[in-house]
Amino acid sequence: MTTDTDVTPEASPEVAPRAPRETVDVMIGQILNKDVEEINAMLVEEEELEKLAAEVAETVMEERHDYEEKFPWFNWDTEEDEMLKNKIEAYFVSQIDQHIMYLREKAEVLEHKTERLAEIEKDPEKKSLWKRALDKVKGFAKKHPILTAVGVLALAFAATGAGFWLAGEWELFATSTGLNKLFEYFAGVGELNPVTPYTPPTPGGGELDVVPDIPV
Amino acid sequence: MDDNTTLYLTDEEKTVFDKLSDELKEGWTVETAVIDYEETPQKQRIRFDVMNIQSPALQEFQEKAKEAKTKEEIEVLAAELDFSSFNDVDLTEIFYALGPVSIGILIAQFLSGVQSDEDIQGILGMSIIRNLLFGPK
Repeated sequence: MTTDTDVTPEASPEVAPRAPRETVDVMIGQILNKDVEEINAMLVEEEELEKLAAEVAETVMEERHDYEEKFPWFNWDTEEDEMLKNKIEAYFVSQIDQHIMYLREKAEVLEHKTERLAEIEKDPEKKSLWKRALDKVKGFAKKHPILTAVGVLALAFAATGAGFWLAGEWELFATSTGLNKLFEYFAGVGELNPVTPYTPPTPGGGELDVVPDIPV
Repeated sequence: MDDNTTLYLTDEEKTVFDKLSDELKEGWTVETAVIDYEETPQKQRIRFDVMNIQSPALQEFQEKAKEAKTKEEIEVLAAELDFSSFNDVDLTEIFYALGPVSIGILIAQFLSGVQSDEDIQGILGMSIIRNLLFGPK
């Protein structure tokens, strides 16, 4: 299972879609050369997370030349090794915490979705009502192609994430279709920040020593 | 007309409905929609993340959309798609991902442009979908 707490910096508005998603679990898996499923199992079980972050920091330090470009916000050239390692470790502890919060909320969403769909499926009356409702909407869509546009954009959003929406040009489209509110709402979701409200300071870091957040 | 003539609308949507002509409103009753779901931007985002499209054509569209760089490229890719031909499973996925707020925006938008009883039938469909997915159990 891969998840979607991105660690890839957000694409700029003029460059869309953004780079392929790299999630925390995927990135840690790559750094440690471990299977993503194994990493996610550790994250879900919340087992030895500090040890995991320490292991990642250790590996990044050992192979620092491979990671200096990937993590340009660390002071690779001027920081003492131990201090640098501590900062990298603190960074990953923070990112893992955020990722775990995301996984928890994702589990809740999936539970709700599964429950609601099961309720419709198991109740003949609801199932029939559901089927008729979908048929009505399909009939409506034949006369109102804008519904296809909404569907298409929902599919694209699901596939590509926020960068797609931040690419510009959508404002004009939204205005022309009268769906400004919907698109503004989507754009807000696309610009969503990570859930974690607090990023712990890095050891020894002053107030200007800010660890960047993960764009979601 | 379908035997189901009850629209589940929020107060805001009902205000839009009330502005329709008496002829259009005739035969319809409105009940207040109750949304039993606390929507947040994060939940909306996650619902898109867990969208599980089954149709090969739509899956292919999603794959190609990842590579598209402009709105025009998306439009070209989307030219072959037609919402009315999407299968029920994929429509369910799309509406669940849209969530109660987005569906509400669609309902309000389409209500303001209603021209026929058929249009209201479509809106009825959306209101039922919202009610079953995000209304009280």
